[in-house]
Amino acid sequence: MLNLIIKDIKNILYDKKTLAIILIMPIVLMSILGAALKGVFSEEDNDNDIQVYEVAIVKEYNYELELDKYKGIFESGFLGDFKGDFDVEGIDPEKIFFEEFMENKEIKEILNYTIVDKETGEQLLKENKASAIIFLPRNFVYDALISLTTPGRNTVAIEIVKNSEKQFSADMVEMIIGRFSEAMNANIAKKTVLINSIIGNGFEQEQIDKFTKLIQDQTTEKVNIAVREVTGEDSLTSFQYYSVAIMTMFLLYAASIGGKALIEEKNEFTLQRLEVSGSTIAKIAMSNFFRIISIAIIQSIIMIVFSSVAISVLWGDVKTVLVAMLCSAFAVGGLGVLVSVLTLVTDRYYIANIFEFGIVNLMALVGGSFIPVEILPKALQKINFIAINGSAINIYLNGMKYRPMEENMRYILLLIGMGVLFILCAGIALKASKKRRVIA
Amino acid sequence: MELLKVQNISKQFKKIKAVDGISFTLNKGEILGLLGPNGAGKSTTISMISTLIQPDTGEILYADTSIIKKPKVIQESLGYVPQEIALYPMLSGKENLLFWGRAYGLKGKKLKDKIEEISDIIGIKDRLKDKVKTYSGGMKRRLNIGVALLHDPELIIMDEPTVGIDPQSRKHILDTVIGLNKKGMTVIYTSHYMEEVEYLCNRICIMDQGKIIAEGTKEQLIKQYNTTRDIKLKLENYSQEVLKKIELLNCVISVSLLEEEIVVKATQDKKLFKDIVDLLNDDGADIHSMDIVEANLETVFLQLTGRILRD
Repeated sequence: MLNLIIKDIKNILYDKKTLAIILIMPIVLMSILGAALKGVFSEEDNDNDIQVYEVAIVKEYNYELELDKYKGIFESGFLGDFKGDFDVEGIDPEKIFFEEFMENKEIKEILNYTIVDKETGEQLLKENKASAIIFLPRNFVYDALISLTTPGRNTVAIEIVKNSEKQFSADMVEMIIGRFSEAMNANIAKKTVLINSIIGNGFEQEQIDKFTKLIQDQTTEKVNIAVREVTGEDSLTSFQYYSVAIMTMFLLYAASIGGKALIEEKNEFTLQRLEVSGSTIAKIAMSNFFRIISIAIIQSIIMIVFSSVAISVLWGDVKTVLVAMLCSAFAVGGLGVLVSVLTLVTDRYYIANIFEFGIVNLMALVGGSFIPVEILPKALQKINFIAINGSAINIYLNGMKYRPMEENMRYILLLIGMGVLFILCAGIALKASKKRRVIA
Repeated sequence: MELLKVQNISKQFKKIKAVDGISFTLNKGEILGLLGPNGAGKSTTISMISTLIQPDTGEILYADTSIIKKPKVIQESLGYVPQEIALYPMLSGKENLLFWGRAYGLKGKKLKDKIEEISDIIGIKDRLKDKVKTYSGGMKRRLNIGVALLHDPELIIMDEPTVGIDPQSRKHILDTVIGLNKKGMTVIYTSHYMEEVEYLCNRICIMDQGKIIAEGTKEQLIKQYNTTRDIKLKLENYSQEVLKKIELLNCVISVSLLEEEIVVKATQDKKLFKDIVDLLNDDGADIHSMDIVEANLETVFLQLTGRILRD
């Protein structure tokens, strides 16, 4: 077996064309894409994006209490004869935020919100089911009402907790809430008109002055938005993402090279010669499996070293990188063997070609090697993990963020499971095929 | 001593019957030739003997053991030289020999010594470090044979090993086969080159359309299937009467005019040549040349099938 593996690796190393495909191309691509798509990772503006992003909204305020508190101002005698019949219908901050802003047709095309408690929101973020949590803080209603109906401006600090794994969409949420802030400020500007209405309702100038003084004791800041990412995590650069994405895509090409191995050996008549020498097809297929794994590992090491040295990519946790490398190589090896066996037993070279030009590219797309998964349609996002590169990308990115290994278990098991399944299928295909290879 | 016994084997691919119930034996130390045109079933036959494909019917015994049930029995003792160059072109000659030697279980000094010995035999010692893809066709063919010799096989099967090479390399290969046979190696040699089979083989099976249509030594086959020979004459100033007189001679089958040559087809008779010369002298004809074309396997095949071997 070792003899076969050494021979196969030598064959690859001596073949400049294959070497270029599996090593030079990914290095060039990761550099070009990383630089070209920098904007996707740092800029919010993306007019073409029509994705609906999930956000969780946590109400930390108590609507009734804060409304009562606001009305209490009027009942305290502070405003003279005014006894709390003030109608907040048109300036209700909750209504403005939810009904006028979040339910706005344009916003609904981009954001889909769920009102949850804090724990649920954090859980949704952890499970990647939300791009961000929007915290509407305590006194949100009261402060906003004060800002809207008095000359003073209370701070309304809306907090956004972004999901660093969904950086693009989280940036989008931040931008949209920024637009809300602008809308609120516009409303605050209208407060003069409202105050004039109050005056129109018969308040004396003395009462209005007292009212104004009290409110001006508050801060005069506008609605603020505090943004933070999930604790302890750094966002990724485009070079980091595309180093992983391109590397894992080209691992699939290692599988496609291996996928052609047996039929090419057959066409070169070395397969028959090996069979005559006593090597079984199963043994030859297994050596092909180890050959693909070896190529995948060599490929990964070279690309990791290159990206670290040449474009300063930080790969994060070494243990996670090693696990990702081995698991993805294993899955790719299994896939390559399955393709090689199917191509051999059917004696149809086009099966390997379909894999190389069709399935590899489809996997690259679904797995997020071409563009980040979260920009893809939801249906594709849901099946992202079934692509080998998709699961591998998730592990590598988690490693870059120093996420605990437990968070990778799902992907690790998936990759190992895929590898085992592919090998089993290859074995079944070999066994089911009674047809022996013919040279006559 | 009987080394290999092929009993009534057949192989069909879809609707084509590639081999149709053939039987033969191979004795230890023999060179057996399988002669026949392309598509005669030679490669399918040796594929079955090499355990690459299983016959649909029949049995193949190697040293009295069925290789259909126990392929390992023959695999360990078999050197297989396929018709195609079954080598890795990106690897050097030495790397190929190392790989195939290890595939046959050789290692260490034994393998190194064997590579030395084989590269001497096949005459590529000075090119061992070069990639096989840079070799000439003849060198590739020789290396193709060398690979099959690494593990000192008891039986070597060579499937058209001289296809498409220069005369010098062909002679080298043929001499190599004879040399190996002298050292005790048993050989099955397939070819559609009649002269190679005549030169090498102790015994010949002539195959056509999946069947063995004749079997024996060269002499036996010629004697059994073809007793005629052609006498080709280049003449001037001869009469038509003399041709009629020649045609009436006892051993003559036919006299025909092919371009400027007169071809006399006749059975084997030592006196015939003298009789023809006497008749031509009596006629006053000028004899420019006389050529006797003896019967060979080509003519045996022609006699048997009505076609020439390279059809």
